[in-house]
Amino acid sequence: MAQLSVSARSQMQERAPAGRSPAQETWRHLLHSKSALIGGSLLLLIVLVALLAPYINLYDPIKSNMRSPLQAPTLAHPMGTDRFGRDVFSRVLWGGRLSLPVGFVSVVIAAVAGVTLGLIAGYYGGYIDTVIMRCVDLLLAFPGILLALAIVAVLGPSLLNLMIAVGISSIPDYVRVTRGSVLSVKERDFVLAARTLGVHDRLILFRHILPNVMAALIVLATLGMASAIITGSALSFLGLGIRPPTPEWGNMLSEGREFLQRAWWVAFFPGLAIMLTVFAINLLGDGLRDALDPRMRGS
Amino acid sequence: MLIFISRRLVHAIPVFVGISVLTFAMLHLVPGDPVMIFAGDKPMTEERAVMLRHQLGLDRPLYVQYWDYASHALRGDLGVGLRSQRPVVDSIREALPGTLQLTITAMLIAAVVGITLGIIAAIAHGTWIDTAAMSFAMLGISMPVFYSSLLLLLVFSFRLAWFPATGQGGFSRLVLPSIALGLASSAALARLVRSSMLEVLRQEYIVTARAKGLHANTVIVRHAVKNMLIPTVTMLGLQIGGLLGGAVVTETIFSRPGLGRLAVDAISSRDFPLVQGTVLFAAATYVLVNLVVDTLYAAIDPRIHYR
Repeated sequence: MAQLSVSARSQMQERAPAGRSPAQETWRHLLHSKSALIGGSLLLLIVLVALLAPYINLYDPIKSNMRSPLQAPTLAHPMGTDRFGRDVFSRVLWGGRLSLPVGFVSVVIAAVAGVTLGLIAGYYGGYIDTVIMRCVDLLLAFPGILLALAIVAVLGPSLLNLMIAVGISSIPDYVRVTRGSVLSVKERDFVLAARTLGVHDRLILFRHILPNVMAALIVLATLGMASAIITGSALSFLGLGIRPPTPEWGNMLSEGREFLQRAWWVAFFPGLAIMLTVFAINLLGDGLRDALDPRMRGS
Repeated sequence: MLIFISRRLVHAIPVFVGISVLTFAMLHLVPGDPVMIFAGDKPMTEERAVMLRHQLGLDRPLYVQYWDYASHALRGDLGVGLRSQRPVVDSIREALPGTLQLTITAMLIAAVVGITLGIIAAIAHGTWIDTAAMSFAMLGISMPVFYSSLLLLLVFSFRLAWFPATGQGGFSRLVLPSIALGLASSAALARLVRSSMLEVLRQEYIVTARAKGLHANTVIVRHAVKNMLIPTVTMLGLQIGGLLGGAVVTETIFSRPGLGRLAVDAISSRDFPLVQGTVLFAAATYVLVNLVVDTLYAAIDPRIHYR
């Protein structure tokens, strides 16, 4: 928040009672939001567990152990074993080390591209705006996961391509939100003042306009991470993302699907991991939205 | 009205052109020589590659190839599948009814469950019913379609044996996939219906209606629900994309023949004409459906004028 422009800061302070800075005010609301607290701590726990996987693991997540295939959950294997006798618990922990970054990196790709395009389209308007928005319309013409599917079809399945595909397919949201906010901010006095002073366009965009879009973007990126994790694991589930034997929640679920009738645990736990992660992120996103948007407060 | 629709159609033309350019470009964006894709795993000599390239028209300038592709597509000719050796249009025509059946049923489930849940939560605002409904909705939007599908299969097909697990045909094979597919949309819808309902309930005309002594149910049904329908229809329109996309996963899990599975199988077997055809068809249909939703939207809301 250190980069808030002066005028935006004073505007937000008008709304903030008791002389707290907007950042403090947001924190206060965030800490009072039950959903943000539950979601945030759950997500933190999931990320920590995934990070620490190499240190807390008892079993190799990839090496097979043919003596104990498809064992039901026991104390030794709290989530059972899969068809190669691999410990499902270990694989779920290791899987997080791929599924979580896929969500994060694709959001970064989408946000960087989308925000830049949105700023340009909104600020310059005219011909550039029309061209950018037509391209966005075109991306939006491919329903749901289909765009990501088509991109993977062209690039071929791999971790990087998966991130690129998921990232590109969520660019439109960022362009639209950024452009909309730019349009509402760019005629305001502090932008006009900066322009009159001869401040360079790039500086106006990043120092004066972007901070005003930030709140909406933080919420969008958080919720976007949830859907990116779902899309990423869906592609892996369909065999078009990360391939086995590398553990990833989507491909584990797909392997477990074949044994659903005999060994429910092989599919159940990776799926649960995806759901809990997405649930935590959605809760956090909802809490963030309430905390960052003064209009939502108290409702 | 007619002018409104035709204007929107005209606006959609650049999008259609864009879609066709993108799907055409797919084949040429794939790393490597397109001829190799058509040849598949068969061994390839230099002469055969030249011959095949000529036969497929790949040695012509790109714009000629695109023109050829686009004009054929307009006439309903999307080429021949590499693996099946059948016209792509025939494969799509066969797969379409399954997908339509699935998405329409899922949409109905989503609309009924989502709107009911949202209205109940809004009326019971602040009570445990509201909390319960919204927690359910939160779980619903966090549940990936492939996971809810597997859980439904596990419980209702394998454990309870109420419904068959896979295949197409008959009502019983439609129940589980459409519930799985409709669940996420219904959750998203419930959240939106609740918040727009809460907003409507705060409006002055609702207060007036209550003040003049109308029955609570009359106020809800006659005054509130009507006004809440507008954002809801928009949201339902937006959900169509999610449903069509979700069908890809649902059809694969429940082994139902449909467009989604056709596309996934085509991508896995690198059957590019089939990939291009299904993607082109899905995108074009989606644009048309959105156009219909826009028109509906204008028809529901008298404040929107056809321009």
